[in-house]
Amino acid sequence: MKKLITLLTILPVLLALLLAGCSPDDPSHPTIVAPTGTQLFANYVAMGNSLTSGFMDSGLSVDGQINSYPRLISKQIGFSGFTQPRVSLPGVGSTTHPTPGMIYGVLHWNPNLGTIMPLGQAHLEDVINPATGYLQDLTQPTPYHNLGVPGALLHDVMNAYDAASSVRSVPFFDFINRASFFGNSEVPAVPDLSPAYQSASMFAQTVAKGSSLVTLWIGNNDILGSATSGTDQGMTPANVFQAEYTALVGTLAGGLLQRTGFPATIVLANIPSITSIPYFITEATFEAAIEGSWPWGYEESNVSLLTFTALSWASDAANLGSPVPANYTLTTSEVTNIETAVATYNGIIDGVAAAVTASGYASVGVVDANAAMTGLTVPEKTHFMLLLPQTMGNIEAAAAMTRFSLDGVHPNNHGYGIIANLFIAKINEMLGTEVPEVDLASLVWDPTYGVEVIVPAKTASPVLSPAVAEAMTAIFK
Amino acid sequence: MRKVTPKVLLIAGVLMACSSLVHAAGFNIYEAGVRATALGGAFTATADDGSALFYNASGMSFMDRSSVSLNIMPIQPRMKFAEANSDVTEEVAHNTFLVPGAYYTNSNNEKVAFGVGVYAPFGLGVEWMNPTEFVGRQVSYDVEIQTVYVTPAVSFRVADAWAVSIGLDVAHQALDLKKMTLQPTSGANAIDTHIEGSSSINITPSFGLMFRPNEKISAGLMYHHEKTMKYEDQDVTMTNVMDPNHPNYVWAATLLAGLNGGVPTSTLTPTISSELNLPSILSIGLAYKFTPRLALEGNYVRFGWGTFQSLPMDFSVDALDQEIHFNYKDTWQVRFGLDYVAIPEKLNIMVGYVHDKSPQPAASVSPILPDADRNDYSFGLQYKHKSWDFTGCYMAVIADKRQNIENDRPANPDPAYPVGEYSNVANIFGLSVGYHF
Repeated sequence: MKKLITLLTILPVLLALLLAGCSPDDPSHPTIVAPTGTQLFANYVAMGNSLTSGFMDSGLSVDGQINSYPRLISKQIGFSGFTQPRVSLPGVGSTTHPTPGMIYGVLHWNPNLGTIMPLGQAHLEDVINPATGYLQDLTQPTPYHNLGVPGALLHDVMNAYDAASSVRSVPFFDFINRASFFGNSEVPAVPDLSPAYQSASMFAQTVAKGSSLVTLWIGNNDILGSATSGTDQGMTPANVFQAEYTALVGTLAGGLLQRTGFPATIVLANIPSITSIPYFITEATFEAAIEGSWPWGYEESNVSLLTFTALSWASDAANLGSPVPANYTLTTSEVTNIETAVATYNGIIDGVAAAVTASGYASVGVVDANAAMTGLTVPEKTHFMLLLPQTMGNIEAAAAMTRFSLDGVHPNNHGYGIIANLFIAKINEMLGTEVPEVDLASLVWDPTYGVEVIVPAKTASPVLSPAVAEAMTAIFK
Repeated sequence: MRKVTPKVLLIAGVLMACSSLVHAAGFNIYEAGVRATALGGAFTATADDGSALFYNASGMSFMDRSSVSLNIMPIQPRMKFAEANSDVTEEVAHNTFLVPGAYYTNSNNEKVAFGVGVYAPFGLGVEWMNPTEFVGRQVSYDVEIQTVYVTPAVSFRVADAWAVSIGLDVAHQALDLKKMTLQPTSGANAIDTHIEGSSSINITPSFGLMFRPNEKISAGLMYHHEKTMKYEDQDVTMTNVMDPNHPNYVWAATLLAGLNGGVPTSTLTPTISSELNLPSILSIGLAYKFTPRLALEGNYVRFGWGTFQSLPMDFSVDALDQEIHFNYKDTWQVRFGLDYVAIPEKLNIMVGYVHDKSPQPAASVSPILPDADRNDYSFGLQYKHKSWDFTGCYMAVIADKRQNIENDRPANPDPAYPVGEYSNVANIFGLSVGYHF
């Protein structure tokens, strides 16, 4: 018995000594698979220009941003964490203020004066002061999910990190890319993915967010800047577009793959024809608006299209007796060259999408925005101001007919809903998901921004002031 | 009836003050007594020493002498993490944590018995090696939670075979969490955050019931009520740890300045208020003596972990407010202990086994607490000499490997949470000395 007791006493002690300090088995490295379907919706980022940012009525404000197509997409896919650089009303517009240090907000239709004019104004100091909250998300510590920058060119996506470094010195880069907040440095080229890029660029911020789903709509301004100036000169050459677009999408795919370990889904959109937007009008439309032909003709012959701003020029009594200047007209050959460029760009976009998909770095699809915009009905792509006479001055009716905002280039709420649905259809096609479409009927555009009607304006001869005309084109220059 | 002596309270106070880092392979530490631990914690129906203050205070009514006892339980947690789709493996620092226990019981087979115990039933300590590089440092690279209960209880012998008890669990908790914020575009270490809190005192009731119809059978029930530990205006230190020459240094500097009302600072010291819920504990036990020298007890223990849903963090700087979600579920354990009297009045040999179900969903398996189902194996010896007893035990806590992966995808979509497999064990040792009078 004593031996048994001794054994029972010693055994636990020996076992304790044996086990003391034992370590856990090495855990195995499990495998996780690439996200599929709706799992990709967990981290959506939008890249692009003003069309992506929610730019509307010649400016950026929460009223437009709330219906930006990326935000509409994020709502439909259930991504609640989507962030944008929200701008308080009256927003940041394109109209130059005569007083230094002041800015105008977005444009609106003033029902009392019967004209388009800035909604309001603000001191620039107040706009950029974080304490005022005018730029509502200026101190958000992470990059925005909507990285669309009004005025961005293709080249800017990888290279611009502030206004000074952007091709056209666009100030929106300062508060959307926020290089002064994040810091910026040129990042050495990734092996096998040759282009170097700026660390605060739209491209780098997208990669840093480790996005699983990216939409990219870029290249419009590479054409529009010339077209809105009435010329076919100054467009980004096709070979440059080819090189930069290939580098951007290829490096984006490679960067995201390197960052997350999985191929991302990238949805591109191509470039719409300039004939799809109300900013360009036919000679017949021009003559109908001015109630007759322009007696002094045009500087250019073979005019095919006029810019909407030609109406402003024609309404100025000082111009009576002068032919319409060339910067307000596009000739047949200019339109042909621009449309050729659009077709070439779109061919490049299709080719890059196919090539990157084939590489396995990402799954890339293309939204045919060009076909969709071309397919709009005439009223849908007619400017609100030109629809007013047709509706006998009924603002709501005219606003409901067009899909474009007062600047004639950027969609209104309803128009952005159409674009969102184009992307959603492509996402569903690529991922096999069933994301519901945006309810377009719910996207009502109010060009008056709620300005109370005191004295109904006359419906005939709507006026487009030179300042507003300048605002409509400023973003492309 | 004897009174609690000032010396006993002094000892309790000292233990509470120096109760160092506590930890087990989970948030609960069921090891309140060395003899109980040797029996796998299956002690609700036995409860025959000072640790009855935790396991079932009704046991005091069946003790024939008063006692004072002191426990010390060194715990050595060992944990590793293997990241998914990579060859990165991480490991916690090799720390030894001390879980204290001190008990006084006044029980002389009278109608009323009472006592007071100091112990640490909840705690956590996970310190990862290489904190500046650890893959989960955005969630936490070092966390400590210490919870000390002081439980005074009184037990009534309502009948020969029955006793009921009621006690008050007076609890205090300390929380210490360290995490690193990374600069979002470069991934560089940017802001080192240290949250250090001490809760207010929380008091909740506990109950016990003991039924001993004869010498062979004993049944018991123990219940400790759930708690909410409240923290008010505790210390937070956020330090800019980026190299000033780093191209992204401006981010950390601007962020801290923004949080500081626009005034540049390298260290921000806001305050934090929070609430941390602790679960209720219900144990039902049945013990049977096969012979006068051999007894077996089994316990079913129910934890109300469903109360531990999240840790809200309300900072004095509103922009920092956040909430860590845990979403625990109620869970259970089964415990078995075999007690053999090797030499009557001299030597007991004890062994135990525990199966412990984790309350933690895969989505909240994280560097703060990667919990898993566990099997524990224990044994111990108790030697008695005159009015003294000396007890030693060892328990091996073997946790199942645990992945925070569901359907081959991360269970938690937050990219700050590292995805992979955790493996952990803990070695628990115990030593106690008791004096009976």
